[in-house]
Amino acid sequence: MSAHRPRRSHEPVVWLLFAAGGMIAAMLLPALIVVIGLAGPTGLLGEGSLDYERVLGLVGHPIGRLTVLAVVSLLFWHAMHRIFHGLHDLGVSTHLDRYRILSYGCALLATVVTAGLLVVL
Amino acid sequence: MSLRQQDGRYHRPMGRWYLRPAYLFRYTLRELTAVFVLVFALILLAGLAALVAGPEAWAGFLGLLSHPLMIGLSAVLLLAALYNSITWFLVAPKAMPAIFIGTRPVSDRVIVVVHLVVFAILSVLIVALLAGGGA
Repeated sequence: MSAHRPRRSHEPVVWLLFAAGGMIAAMLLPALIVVIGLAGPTGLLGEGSLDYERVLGLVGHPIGRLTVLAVVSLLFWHAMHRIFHGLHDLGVSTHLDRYRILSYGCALLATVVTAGLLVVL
Repeated sequence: MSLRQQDGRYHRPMGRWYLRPAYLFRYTLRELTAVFVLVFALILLAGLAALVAGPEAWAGFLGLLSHPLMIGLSAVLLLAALYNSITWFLVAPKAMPAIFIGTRPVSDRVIVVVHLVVFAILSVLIVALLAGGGA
């Protein structure tokens, strides 16, 4: 019956998430890595900038929560999309659904975990 | 292995990959940045979990971040992130629909420069927002 109907693809949806995450990664990641990974731990950032109370205030604010959810989850969608397509380049049989499910499943799981943590924060 | 030969689909061979042209190396490097993005996303998630768990867990998270090995990892993550940013901005004119001012198309160069300017502004804002909390 549907033998000649073209198969609809999931690609536009995951590509949208990939592209959004890519823009976030490209725009924000270097600064975030400098602050959280380098300047913060080495003390260049200034006393108390990463204090528990202060970070809790920033992240716990409604705008902070939404921002963290968008940034963290979309980074996962971006990375897992590229890794999934990278598997093909490495000779993995990515037409098999299990690799797709595994890759995007990880991104979905990370999104749910992030949202859950932000709810209980 | 038998699956690979029998399913009749194309599989990219991996033989002598180091002899492939340079643009393929750059492509691979760009795609590889995703692994580093994933690592940093996991660090952010761990930080969020520590924040939820309380002040002691947060102190432990900060302590882990200041370990020399983690500082080294962050430096590598920063290089990968910068490479990702630059390649992302350079392909932006090709990835987005053409923009016109009146009837004149906006040139690729302008699109890349606008991305770089926004990138610079956002980077300064992030550092300013998170730095110097004041004790």
